[in-house]
Amino acid sequence: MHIIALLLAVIALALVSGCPGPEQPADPRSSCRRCHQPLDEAGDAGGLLESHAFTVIACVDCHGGDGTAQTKVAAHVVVPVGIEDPTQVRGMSSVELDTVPLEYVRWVNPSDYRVSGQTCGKTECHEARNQTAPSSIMTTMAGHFNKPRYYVGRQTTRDPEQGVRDQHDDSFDGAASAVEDMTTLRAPDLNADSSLADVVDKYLEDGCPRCHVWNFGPNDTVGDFRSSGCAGCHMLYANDGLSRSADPNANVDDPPHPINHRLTVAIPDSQCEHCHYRGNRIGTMYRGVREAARIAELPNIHALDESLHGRPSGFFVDDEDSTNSVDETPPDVHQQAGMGCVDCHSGVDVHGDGNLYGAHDNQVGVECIDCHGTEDAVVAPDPGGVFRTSRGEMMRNVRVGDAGVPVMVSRLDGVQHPLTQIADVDLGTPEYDATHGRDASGFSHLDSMECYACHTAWTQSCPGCHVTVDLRSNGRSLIDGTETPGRTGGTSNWVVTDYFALGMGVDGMLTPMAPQEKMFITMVVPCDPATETCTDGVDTPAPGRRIFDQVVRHTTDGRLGFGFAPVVPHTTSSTSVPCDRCHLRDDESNRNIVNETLGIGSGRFQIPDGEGTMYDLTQVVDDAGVATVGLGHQGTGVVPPDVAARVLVPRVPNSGLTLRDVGPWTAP
Amino acid sequence: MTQHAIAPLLLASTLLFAGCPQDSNNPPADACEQAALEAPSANLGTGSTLFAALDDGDDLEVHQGAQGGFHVWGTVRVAGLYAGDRDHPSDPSNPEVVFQVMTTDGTVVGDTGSLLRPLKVRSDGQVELVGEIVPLFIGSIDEVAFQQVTLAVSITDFCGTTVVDSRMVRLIPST
Repeated sequence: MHIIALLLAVIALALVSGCPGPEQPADPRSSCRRCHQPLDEAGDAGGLLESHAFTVIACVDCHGGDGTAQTKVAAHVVVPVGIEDPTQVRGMSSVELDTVPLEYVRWVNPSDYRVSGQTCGKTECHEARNQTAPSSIMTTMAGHFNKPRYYVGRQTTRDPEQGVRDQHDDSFDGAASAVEDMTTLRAPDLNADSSLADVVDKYLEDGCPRCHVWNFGPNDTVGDFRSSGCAGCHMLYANDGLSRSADPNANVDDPPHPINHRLTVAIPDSQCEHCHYRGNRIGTMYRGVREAARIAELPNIHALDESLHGRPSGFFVDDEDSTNSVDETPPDVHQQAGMGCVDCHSGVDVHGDGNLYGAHDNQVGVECIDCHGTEDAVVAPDPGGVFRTSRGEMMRNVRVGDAGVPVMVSRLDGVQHPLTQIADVDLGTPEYDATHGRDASGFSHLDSMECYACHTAWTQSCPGCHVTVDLRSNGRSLIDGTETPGRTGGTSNWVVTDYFALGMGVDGMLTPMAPQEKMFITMVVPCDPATETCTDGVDTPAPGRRIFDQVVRHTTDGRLGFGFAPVVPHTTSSTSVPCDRCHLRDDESNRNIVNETLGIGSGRFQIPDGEGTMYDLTQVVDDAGVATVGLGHQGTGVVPPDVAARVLVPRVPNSGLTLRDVGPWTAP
Repeated sequence: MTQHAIAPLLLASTLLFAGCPQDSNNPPADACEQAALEAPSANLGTGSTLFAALDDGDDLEVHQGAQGGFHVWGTVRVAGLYAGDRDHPSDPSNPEVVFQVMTTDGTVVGDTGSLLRPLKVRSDGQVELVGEIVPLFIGSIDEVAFQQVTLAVSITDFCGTTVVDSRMVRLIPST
């Protein structure tokens, strides 16, 4: 009995006691600091960082809870029934998160969009951002859904009909490429009678929504750890997801926890890369890193010795040939200069303007000319002294520097970067005049081409993709967390850095295009060998048979469901793509190269479907120059026939450019 | 530490890699002395972000990555080793780690190769490496589904101490 009484006494003492350490004076903000920011022996506060620059905010103003309570139990928000700890919440799908009491969501992450109206987005704080960010493309993820669904004929348009959540735009004004309502993507349960469009919805629901800020993401992989809502970007996570906090009560052993309890606008590229290593791979390309798949035959690659983003050591390559002095995949010049993603992308670019868009072209507005001017004019502030983007957005970190020239002040470190003005540059060479000047007919490349159409060092492309949805195992929805038959897998057929094609962007300028989602889709269902002919896993306990076998998609308007969409590679180079990438040489020895650039087709990447029909993945137009494939973004197109005809007129010197021989396709 | 027939093979192959301690900026002078305070041991597990214990006979999920490859998650807790320096992941004094997956006939179907990996010292003193991707050399899940295999790990630290562990598991498709 004595022992039991002693135990009870110890437990009771633990429940009511505060934290050990010197006597803490009454705190005007909260008692939370007694445990999380305790005084040391000298009476100095240490531990938890102040969360917000410029202002002091009480813990409970953001997190809720009771800042006057003197015990942990009384101070913390009660953990809801069915939830073991906050870590569980940080791996939930968005629909699962909707079931968590808002008080607890706020406790775990006050900036989650479900509660941010009470916290970051309060009237006196960041209300304007909170009105637009929850409908931005980084939040809805609609851009990843509308294209594939259009390619397979599930949608007749490329409107962003579905996202990761039902959303309604109260102030919809008919903005181009935007919608008033968006519904949640929900794939039907798959079976042997499912349609190809059902299969596409299933792989979209299970495979894609890792990266949107309506939730925390699965938080299950090194390099991907992050939060949701505002903190998804503004609270930094290390690649290992471990806290470096000095808070004596912080969990520093297990992910996912932020590096420190500190919100920031100095967001390093590594934070952006927690998501942007996928899709067009701009996060990794910006720092000069490509993926290694299918280049094992390259003898001297230098790969990164780290497991990252679910890829093993050796997957990411920073030098294709370490025996020469050339970096075949250099970082973007801006990255080399010390600038980060957030130096160019802020405001509407990342928070949206309140419209429910379906592609980055519509939301992202910053252009090269906003900092570097044009051939005819240097950049200048408006009458109010503010530098603005072409769309009128303030560029808060661009100003007139000490030397009287425009500079960009990096958000990362405050370093001033003088902004080279194109109008002030004249190399005086025939090549420079031909590319940047205006000829006798008044033509200039600069009038009709994005700067990065030429000033791109390289682009990672993955032509061809074999997707298999296998109903012998379950797949987990990343939207609602449920498991249903159909495990999604995929295989890139080639990963190359020298594919280059042009198309028409939303603003009528020629732009690089990506060979996106040229998919061959297979669905496997369980098979009974006693009554059916099985094709997969015949000798295993779980044989299967193929309902769809490497099937290509088609749009409702009769095009091949092969994607072709604008891409901004973010490998900007001061040098240019060689002229003979687009124009013919005197001897026309580069005809295939030019054909690849113009979408006529080079024959370099050819794959058969399950019935043996061969597809040239570089071909996107027919003999008349009309698009034969689905174009992923509204308002974009292939190179118009009249433009293509004009491109084929000039003759240019041989730069020595050759295309890598990728070899024939082999079945995975 | 469990003992299996594969352990001596792993030990031998790892010693070939290991050699003598290399120059390093970071190991404290008493790193090996401190490490030797505990008996060297390894406890092999799995898990992408947290250590999950594995027992012989357990199922081990095979995951397919977004690029089409297949892998299992290798995780291990150790004692008696110098953990290395997590602030310098490429420091040559960090432990060398090898995970392998072998079929019952000894065929290696998964291998990380030799990796330099600093180990995490938890606040409770446990030392672990979590979430190492062990690539499988297969083109289809059907090649290994429901097969018995050995998942093995070998770690050699700066001091030349090697620990090994292995488990007989059944590979199953991830759900």
